[in-house]
Amino acid sequence: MSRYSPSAALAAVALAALFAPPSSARGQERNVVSSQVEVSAGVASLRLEFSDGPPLSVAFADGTVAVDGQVLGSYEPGGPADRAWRELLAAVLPLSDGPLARELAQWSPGSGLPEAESAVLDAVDHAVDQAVADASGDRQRARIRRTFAGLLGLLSRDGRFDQLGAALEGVDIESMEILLEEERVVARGEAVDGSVLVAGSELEVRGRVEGHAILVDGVLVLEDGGTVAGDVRVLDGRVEERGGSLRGDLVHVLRESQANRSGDLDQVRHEMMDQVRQEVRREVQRDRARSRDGFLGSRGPVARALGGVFEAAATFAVLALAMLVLARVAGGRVNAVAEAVGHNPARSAAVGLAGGFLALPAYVLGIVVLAVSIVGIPLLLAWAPLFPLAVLVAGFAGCLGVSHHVGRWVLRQDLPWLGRADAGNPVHARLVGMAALLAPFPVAGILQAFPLVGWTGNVVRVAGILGCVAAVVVGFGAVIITRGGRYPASAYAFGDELDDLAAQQDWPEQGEPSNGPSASAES
Amino acid sequence: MTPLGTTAVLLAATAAAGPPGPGTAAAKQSWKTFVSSRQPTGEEELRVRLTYGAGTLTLRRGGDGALYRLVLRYDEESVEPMAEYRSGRLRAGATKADGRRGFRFAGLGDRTSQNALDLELGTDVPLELDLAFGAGEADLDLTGLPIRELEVSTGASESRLRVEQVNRERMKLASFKVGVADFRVHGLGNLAAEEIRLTAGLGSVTLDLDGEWPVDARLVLEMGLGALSLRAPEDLGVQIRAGNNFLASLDLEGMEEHGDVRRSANWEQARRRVEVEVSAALGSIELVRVP
Repeated sequence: MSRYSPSAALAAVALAALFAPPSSARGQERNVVSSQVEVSAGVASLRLEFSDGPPLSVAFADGTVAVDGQVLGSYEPGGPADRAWRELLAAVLPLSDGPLARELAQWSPGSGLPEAESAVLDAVDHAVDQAVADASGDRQRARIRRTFAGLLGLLSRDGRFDQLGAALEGVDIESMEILLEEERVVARGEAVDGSVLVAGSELEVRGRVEGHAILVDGVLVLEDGGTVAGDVRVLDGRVEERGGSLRGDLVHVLRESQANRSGDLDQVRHEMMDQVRQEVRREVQRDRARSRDGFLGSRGPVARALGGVFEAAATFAVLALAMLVLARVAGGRVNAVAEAVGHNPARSAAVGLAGGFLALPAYVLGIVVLAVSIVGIPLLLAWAPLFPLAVLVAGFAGCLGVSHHVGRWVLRQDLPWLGRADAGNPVHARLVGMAALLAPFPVAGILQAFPLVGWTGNVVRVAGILGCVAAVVVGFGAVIITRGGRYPASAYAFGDELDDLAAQQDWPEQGEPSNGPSASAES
Repeated sequence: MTPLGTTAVLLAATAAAGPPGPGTAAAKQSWKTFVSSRQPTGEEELRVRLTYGAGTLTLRRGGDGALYRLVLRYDEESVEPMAEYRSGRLRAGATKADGRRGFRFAGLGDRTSQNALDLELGTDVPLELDLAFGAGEADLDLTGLPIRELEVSTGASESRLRVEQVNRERMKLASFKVGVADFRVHGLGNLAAEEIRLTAGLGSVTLDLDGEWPVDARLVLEMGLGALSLRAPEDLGVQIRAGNNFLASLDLEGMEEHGDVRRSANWEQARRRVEVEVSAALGSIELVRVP
């Protein structure tokens, strides 16, 4: 079957519905929604409202006839025209809606009227007929809308819409009879010239259908002697053969479509498998290229290990330079921090952890406070960049304090290849300590270069990260405890007398840590 | 003959007889018939406000499919009809020709007695009814109407209200205000109202507490100088709480005292119960048990 456009097929069906005869199974449409009748000695009027469109008003009042406010002519009160109109009103009074419209449409002025009044009544009759005919037109359009909507509802299920075009191939749609939610019996001896669309309906054939029968959620009963000359095309529904005959084919359109769709799915599946195969092939080729680099190749593990060593060395060089600068600028404060780390490392760690968590809220709070206060807005320009910088410097200074103690501990181990370093020299101690903190990273890279023990490199790397984080936290806490290295940890122990003590002591700015109680405790 | 049929005959008679000649009695009164009907067009509810002064008022269930049908017969010299419908609201009734509502009470005679308003309401759309009528007769048959709200105000009329089937809607409050009218209600239990409130002045009120009572209800009665008769079926559990007013007359048949309330003997076993609260000034209240 060649394919029709579904929308074109549906439009054709809608057109066919336009000419389809109304079914007795359908209810009476309601188009005259309101009627008003006024009758008195001098007035006899009728007003109708329709479901859409303008209302109609006809008034016989005081010798004048008006339709929709426009005077058509005159009549004699109590005369033949007046009586004829009042008889009509009396007749339509108990009626509503369809029966009312039909009664009005069937009304015609009687004969034997004076010529002038006859002309007026004819004009009234014409106006009434016109209004009712419009209502009938509305009714026809409403019926078509419902038919169309009903068909859409049936066809929209289970992909039937796509297959409508196939089902209507070769069908003369203009002569096609459409059954929508009704029962139709083709009686014995009766012949249906065209095809029949059975939508949500039942078609019982005792006579003859010359065209095709298309079932959309429909039932076809072929009774004894009944004949369908064309095909029976089933989108959904069933055929009951009770002795009748089918000259054409029984085609399950939806099933065929699903079979075609199944074939399409197989094709898609094959294409996907081809793509996967090609991808796997490319990956294998990449692996082969990688293996050609070998153990010592540019992308091999030895190269990666050497890269890690160089990276750690570069980091060490940068940090060492920063340390020298900081020692030059605020050596005394770094000493105080280092002293605090040695004096109370646990407390420093706790304070550093708390300070780390509070740093961000404090930063945001500062921004908010400065932003809402008019005078603080200029300070905000300094606060925004300097606070993170201060935290960064504090962390680095704290890390140096920790490096100091780590380096001294390493140097006390009397390692032969560190014999030239002096444990009493804070610069030596901090450099060695810093190197010790960074050492796990190149060691991890080297370990990962070896087969089988590569996992130990990961362990060492994680240990190095944890060590650095711990150093920063402890050092940051020491910076907070010493208030930026202004007060040694030994003085901090006195709590409220801190300021007095700070004022009495002269803290060294550079060189060795102070010789206070904490220094003696360290040694 | 139904009101509609009567109106059709009247119209036919008018058509056959033609306009009355000068000097006749009919010429002094210009009678007019106004008929208005409407079909439902998707309304979710219909609010009806009916204001009618004097004459005969009839309200009942209409034919299937109609939203309402109003037939009004009146003297157009003195009365202007009112039938406005907009967005689910129907205002119907009659106003005086000078713009004031209601009919002239002076000279009530043939003129007012021949006024008639017949209103038929459909059963497809839930209803909110606000009915106010003055002198005359009112026959309100609410049987089969789906009523969500009900307010009835009657002045000097002789009114009958009956509900012979259970209202399929439920209402919170049904309110009756009675002036000097003779007012009788049948099938109060079919209103399916949680609370029924009656305020009566000088009128004579009879409430038949028959019906299904699909919900236990509370009946609040405020009596002035009028007489109230409660007719309760024997199988209905009734509890009455009456204020202490020695000027009011209470005659409560078969009720037993339980603290500050009086209960029927079947109160505990009764399948349907009604609690009544009564406050009366000088009026008389009687409770009669009916089989």
